[in-house]
Amino acid sequence: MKQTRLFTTLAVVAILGLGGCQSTVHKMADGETSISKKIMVQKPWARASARMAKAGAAFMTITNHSMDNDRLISASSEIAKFTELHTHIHDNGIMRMRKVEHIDIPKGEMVALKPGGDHVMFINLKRKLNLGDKLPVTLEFKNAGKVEVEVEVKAAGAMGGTHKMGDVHKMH
Amino acid sequence: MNTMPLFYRNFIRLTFFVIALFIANTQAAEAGNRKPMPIKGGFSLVDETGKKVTLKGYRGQYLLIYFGYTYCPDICPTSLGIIAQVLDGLSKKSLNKIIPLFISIDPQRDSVEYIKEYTDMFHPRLLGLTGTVAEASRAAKTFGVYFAKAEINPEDSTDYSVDHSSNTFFVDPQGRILEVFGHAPDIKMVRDKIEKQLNR
Ligand SMILES: [Cu+2]
Repeated sequence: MKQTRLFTTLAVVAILGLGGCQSTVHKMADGETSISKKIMVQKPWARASARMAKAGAAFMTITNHSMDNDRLISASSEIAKFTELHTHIHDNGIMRMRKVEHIDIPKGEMVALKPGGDHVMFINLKRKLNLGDKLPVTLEFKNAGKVEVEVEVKAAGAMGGTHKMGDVHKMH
Repeated sequence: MNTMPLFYRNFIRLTFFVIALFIANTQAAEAGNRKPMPIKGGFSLVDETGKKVTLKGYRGQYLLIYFGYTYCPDICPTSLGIIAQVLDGLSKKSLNKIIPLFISIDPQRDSVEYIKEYTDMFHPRLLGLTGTVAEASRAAKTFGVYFAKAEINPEDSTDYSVDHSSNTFFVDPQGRILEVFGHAPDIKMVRDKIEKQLNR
């Protein structure tokens, strides 16, 4: 009995150690995590925009739980005229944003779409993105097919947890 | 039997060596940066309230300057979010000594009204500056900031992104550059450097 319990504990610890996957079940309810059989998308977020803003970007982490390499091939949304996949090329301190045809999600790996790097790009926004909005976005993967996510709109200066000083800058 | 401890000792030695190198490098870089760099040139722009401003007119104040554009979907919000957090962490006394500026490198789209709304989303003290294309180009040139239109939508020529440098400049009251922070610097590092300078 004791050994079984120990094993269970170890298993739980091991699962918790996998980073983020542990909260799949209850996070699904509030839309933070979307999961297909093979692909898990966590914490999709975007930044609040100004009234006249035409562009926005969404970030998230994508985990490939399947045995095959996969690739994000497109994204679509109602919020913008065009929804594209982009990356940033850091060229000697110069930031060059470029459209990409796909974003590779290798088997067993977690890929972060994050500020300064890969992102889902909204071009010609149809309306202002307000703090707290939930934006439905459809991601399409080569193997896993379509995955619906809800992108949460955070503060304009939000960093999405990539900085130690805290996630969301308070609104003034 | 002896190989493990030997390996271990060498490993420790190597680690110390690397750490020492790292510290030496950091100190060299800091010492290099600390020499104030006089600014050749200047700028003449309008601020978010419509007032004419010049670089010379800001003499006597510390400045924190970032160049960007309000349609920027990621790089500028990241930089301005960091600047906002730097400002929030400064003492009230220090905050009053520094003017954070956001200078548009896309003045064709960044109107006075719009740059005000945009900068206010990040921090109430952040002041937006814009102007004519020539004025903005001169301002960028003064600070060695590169910018160029990229990815122009063939269906809509007013829809484009702009490639640009993502540096933050810390300018002293004599109008000299004290520090140039690269893209997405560590918030605490920037805040400490500013606080240290302002309390000298
Ligand atoms: Cu983009």
